[in-house]
Amino acid sequence: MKSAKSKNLEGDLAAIVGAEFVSSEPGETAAYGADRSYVPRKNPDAVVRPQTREQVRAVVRWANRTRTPLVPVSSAPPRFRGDTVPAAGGVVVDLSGMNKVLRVDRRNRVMVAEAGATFEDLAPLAEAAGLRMVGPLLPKAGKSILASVLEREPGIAPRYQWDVSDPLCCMEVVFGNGEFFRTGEAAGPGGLEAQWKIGGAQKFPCGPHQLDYHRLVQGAQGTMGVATWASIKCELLPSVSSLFFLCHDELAPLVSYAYKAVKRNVGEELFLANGKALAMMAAADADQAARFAHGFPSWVLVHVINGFERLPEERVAYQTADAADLAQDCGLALKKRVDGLGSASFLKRLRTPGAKPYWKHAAKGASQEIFFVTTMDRAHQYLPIVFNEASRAGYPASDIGVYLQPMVQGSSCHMEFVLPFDPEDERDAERVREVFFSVSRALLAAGAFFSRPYPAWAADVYRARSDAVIPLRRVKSVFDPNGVMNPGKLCF
Amino acid sequence: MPLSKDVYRVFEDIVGEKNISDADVILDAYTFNWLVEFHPGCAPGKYLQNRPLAVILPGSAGEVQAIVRACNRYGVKYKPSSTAYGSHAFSLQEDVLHIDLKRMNRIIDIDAKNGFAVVEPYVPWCQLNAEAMKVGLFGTAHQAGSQASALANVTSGWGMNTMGNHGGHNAKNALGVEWVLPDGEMIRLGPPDAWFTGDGPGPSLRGVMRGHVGALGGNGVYTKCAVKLHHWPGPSTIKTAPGGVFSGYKLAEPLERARVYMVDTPDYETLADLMYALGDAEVCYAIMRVGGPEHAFAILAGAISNQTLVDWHEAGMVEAAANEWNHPLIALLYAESDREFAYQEKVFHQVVEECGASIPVAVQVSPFKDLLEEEFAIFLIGNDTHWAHHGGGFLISAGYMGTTDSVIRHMGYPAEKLKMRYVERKGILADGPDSTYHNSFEHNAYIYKELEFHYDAANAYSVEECRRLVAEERDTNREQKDGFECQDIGLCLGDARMTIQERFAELGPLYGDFHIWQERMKRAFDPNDVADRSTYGIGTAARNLKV
Repeated sequence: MKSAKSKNLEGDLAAIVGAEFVSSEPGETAAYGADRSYVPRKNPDAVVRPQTREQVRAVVRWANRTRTPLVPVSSAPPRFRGDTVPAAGGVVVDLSGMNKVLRVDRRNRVMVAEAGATFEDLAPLAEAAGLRMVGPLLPKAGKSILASVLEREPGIAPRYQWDVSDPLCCMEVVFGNGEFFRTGEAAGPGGLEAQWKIGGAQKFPCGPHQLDYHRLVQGAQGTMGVATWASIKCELLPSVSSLFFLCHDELAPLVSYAYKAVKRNVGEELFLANGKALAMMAAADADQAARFAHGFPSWVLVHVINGFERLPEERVAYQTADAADLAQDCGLALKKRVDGLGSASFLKRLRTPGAKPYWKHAAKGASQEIFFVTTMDRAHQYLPIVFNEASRAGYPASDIGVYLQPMVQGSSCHMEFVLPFDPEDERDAERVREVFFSVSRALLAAGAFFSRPYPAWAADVYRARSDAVIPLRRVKSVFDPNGVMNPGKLCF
Repeated sequence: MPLSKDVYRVFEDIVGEKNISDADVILDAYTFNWLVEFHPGCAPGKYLQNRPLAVILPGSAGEVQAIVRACNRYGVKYKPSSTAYGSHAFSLQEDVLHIDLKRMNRIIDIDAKNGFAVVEPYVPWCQLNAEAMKVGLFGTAHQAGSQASALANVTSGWGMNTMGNHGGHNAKNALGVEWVLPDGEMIRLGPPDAWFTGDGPGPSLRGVMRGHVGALGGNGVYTKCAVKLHHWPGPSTIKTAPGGVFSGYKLAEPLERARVYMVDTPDYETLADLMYALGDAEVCYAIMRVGGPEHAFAILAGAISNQTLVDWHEAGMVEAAANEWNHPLIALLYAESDREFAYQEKVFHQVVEECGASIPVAVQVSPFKDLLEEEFAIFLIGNDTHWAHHGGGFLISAGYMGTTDSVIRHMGYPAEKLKMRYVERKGILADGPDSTYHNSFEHNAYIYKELEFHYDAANAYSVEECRRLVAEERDTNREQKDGFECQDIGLCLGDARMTIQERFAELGPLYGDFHIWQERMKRAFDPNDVADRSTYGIGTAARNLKV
């Protein structure tokens, strides 16, 4: 039954977006009150689904007047990280209805998409224009592109990532105080179309002038404002591609190869995984994941070499020859097949956003993820910490998927541990819960840098970083002086 | 008001007697720099009006922090600088302590595997690159020259550079940073004990550190920084030999798997097509321009003498080039393997031909061929920009970032017409219509471009003409809504119509009220208003803004 508070909210918000786009029905609000993380359930009082940027601004202004917390959400469920679970009730701003791809610009290799547009929405449009977005590894179905870049999810082609903020170019944001702002080259004058008319394409991300606003919205988990659209850097669509597996029992030779290949711009997509993780990425179901995992080598590096518009076969040929030389230097070999998994079928899967099952759930139907940023040469230090902690809690280390994604042209590395579990098995789920927290604590104690501190980690991370808390709170006070944006997250 | 003896002693206690001074002879050295003649009250060739209160030279981050804390305690404004190229490196307001970071000049570490170097503020790009090349890495030296501080370039100043097509804009090349905030607190961007990233936890405070333009000392002091380096396919040292046409030295031996090309395009439309196609093809380590043939010759001759340019004109060299070339582009191909180089060459020539561009006959034979291969390669790699200051005065109308199409639309034909009107009025050097310098970034994802012109810094008419030219260029931009002005690299120069602070205040509403947002951030981070604001946002006028 709706509370009087909910009814009041609903009335106010209906006046802004229309009654059909707001709900305080418990059945609907409950869908936003929890996710697959360990954040305690807290249902919002209402859900509002704005359809325009003006409506978004009106909602934020209303929230400031009424001091109502707002939680922006743009990806479809299931959600995993707790950042969109309201810590203090309030209103969820569901942007999934604003899902248009506003422009795909081949000449400038960029596209502009609203907050709710997903990887699946963009892929065919980009492809038709001869482009692609080099996004994160196997994004889940319904994942918002804008949410992904705001979360700084690493793309799988590190040589195209000059900066951790890539491929985000510009965006429009309604800051927590209710003011519109466009970041970077998009700042002005005029709106998108006026800028397109004079050859602009919202490509240069920095500024305007002496602040980089996009960096302060990225990684903020919706605590600074609501982004309504973003321009995203694209790359040419390959016309020829060749995927290789490089395998070894040890991580070190693969890391050596990764450094060399990324630095020398050999190939594009490149990541490392243990056999378990690769099995999850490649499998169509749990049985196949188990079969793959059984036969896969301990460590695999996946490398894709592409040809584009000009002399594509020649490009693939010379780069393959160069890659083979690098591999030989590292005591490795390029392979087109790894125990039952062919390169062509895996490449197809890699390039199918939203493919099901979501790879992290392929082994047992659910999983927890622990990730942080390090460097490739430090990665091996974290393996025993995780495996030992898991074993201590009775969780088999052999079940843990490990994914290493070189970032920012090889200067750093996203390191991720995936802990699969059977959601129907309470004991299994409880055991993973225990492992998740004990491993997280152990990693933090060992100095792992949780650059994206989702709620499960935020308190511990910021407790150790008081130097960062004060300046971050100053930033928060500038953009969201009344603290209406997603309170209870990060250090706010 | 001068520093009281007591306060002076506080600073002296921090750095020692030898590292602080308020002697006139020292202070005057901090009032003369490139472009001072454009500031109010500065006649051509004269000094800035304001001397600093004192100049202090800290030797460590701890000393910097102590100085900034003392500034907060005693209400002393401060302005930090490192290699200080340009008048923006000095405060434009009165009663400011100048913190010169020149004693902090160490390369702390080069992490060859992960591709970055940790440096202090006074490490110039040439020092860093000399070390980086030994381990197969290379930094994107600022186009202001290799003498410029790498740290200042990635944290505090501008990001343009000649190697950006491969290495990116330097606003994107900062990793971990050690930062003494305006109030004296010290923070590390990124992890507390490593330098591989400067982002997080959570939102990246790099967004406060700098934007398209750095804070120019208006937001605290950056005391260490990890600078991202890029793969260097060349030798561990570049050997030079005496000789060459204009620089006095040249490559002792050719670089392997490297070639510098000059490609000409008949018009700006073709130039844009060529740049997009080269960007798509990803075969160039560097793509840049130094303008049309007359401007290029003026710059090259400037390295030798003014008479050299006269000689070249009289010998018909400049005119011959001007007759054959229109809008040339410089490209550096540099490959890791012979296979890659062969592919680059093949694709490069295919692109040139398909776009309707050409490689002029003159640059395929001596002496221009030698000049490109033996000297221009050094210019690109070493980024030696002393050539630019021909005649004693060198100015740019504004620097713009944007897509190739949008920038060329604004800086192509309209800029030529504008410049030639001023050439006819004899206020600036007559070095042809096309004098637009540019760099490409991230495979031509966006470009930087500036209209360059030479003037006489000691001549009042010449300086005034420059001020008028800059004003007219900015006003035209506004009228046409070209949308670049806010991305002006902000050399903090006024023009004939208004001060730069007035202009930024006028621009603010067109660009999301950025000046108000900046002032909000300034007040949040600098509650005592001691970090020099004369080159931050709309300057001292911002104190009166209602935010």
